[in-house]
Amino acid sequence: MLARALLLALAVAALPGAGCSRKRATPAPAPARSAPSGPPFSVAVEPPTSCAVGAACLARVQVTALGAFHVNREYPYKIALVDSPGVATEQRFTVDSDQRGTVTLTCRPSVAGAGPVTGTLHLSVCSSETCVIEEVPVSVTLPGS
Amino acid sequence: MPTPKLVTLAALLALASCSKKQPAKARAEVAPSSTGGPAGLPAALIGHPAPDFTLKDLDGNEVSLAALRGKLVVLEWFNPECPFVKRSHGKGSLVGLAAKHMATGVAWLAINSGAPGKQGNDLEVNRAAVAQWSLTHPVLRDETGAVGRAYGASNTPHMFVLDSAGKVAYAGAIDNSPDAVGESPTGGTLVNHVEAALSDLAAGRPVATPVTKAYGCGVKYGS
Repeated sequence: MLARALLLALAVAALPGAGCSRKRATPAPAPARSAPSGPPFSVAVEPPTSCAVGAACLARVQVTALGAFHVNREYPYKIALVDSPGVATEQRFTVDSDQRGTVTLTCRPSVAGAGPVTGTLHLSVCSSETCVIEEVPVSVTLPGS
Repeated sequence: MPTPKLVTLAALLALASCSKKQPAKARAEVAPSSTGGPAGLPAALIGHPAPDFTLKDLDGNEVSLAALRGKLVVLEWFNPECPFVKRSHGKGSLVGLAAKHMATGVAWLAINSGAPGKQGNDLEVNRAAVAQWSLTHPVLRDETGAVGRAYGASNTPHMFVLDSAGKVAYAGAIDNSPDAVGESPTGGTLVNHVEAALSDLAAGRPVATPVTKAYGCGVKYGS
């Protein structure tokens, strides 16, 4: 249920008409570091603003560790992508800070109307008390392809 | 209602709970020379005698490392509530591994260095994990953390392989896939470092890769 809701919300966020810009995602405000009462992380999808056929465009999936949690630098963050006909993809994960990491998805549509690019983000965040390994559905619509 | 330019979504699944139950005391005796603690200790132990210890298993039976001299020994730092341990035993490189090698005469000991009240310390949780994963090797309780610190065990799982002379021959990760399920191996090919070390030792060869960086949860030592 939660996974379905997340997928739906992420897909909506990625819609061309949603007015997505290329500015970096702004994560939800982090609660006090000592006592996260909700999620230990947030995921934000920043789709490309345009993505012409034959051109490379970038989408970013940003993970923010909340509260006392930090990005697990040892974990192989990745998006397990479902086949997206007409779109070639590459991905790269970078740790931006203790609290933030980004999967950059390079998409290159070969046909008009390609996409969306969907998959499951594999992530891990840890605190001094525990680690969390999670899988979050993500979907990126490619505008203008 | 305006559409936001960017939507941030948070997702949470339940965090592993931390038990507060106080399990039975276990006695840890560690060789006096083993002070342990620094992060570089596992590598420094390679080729040196493994710190000796006597610990109790989940049923209160004492197990002494010295009594296993002459055998290849695998030490596996253990926390049944750590998701990396769960994945390794449920799907990853630790599935059936201990039983497979114990059948050939290898001794395999899991060691839980979690302090009372910390994640994974609870006796019944440990028993349940043993049953769930059909473990046939002992899980030893090191509640003071003395043995874990003597080896510099930093993660769960953190693996050590001792040769038949009782020297540390391998220290590090169980494999080269830090997702704990073998789906993201560094270099593209999954390598089980413990199996490789045991194979080298069984063939009378030096261990080709004696040290790797362990991955997983931090060991939940007490203060």
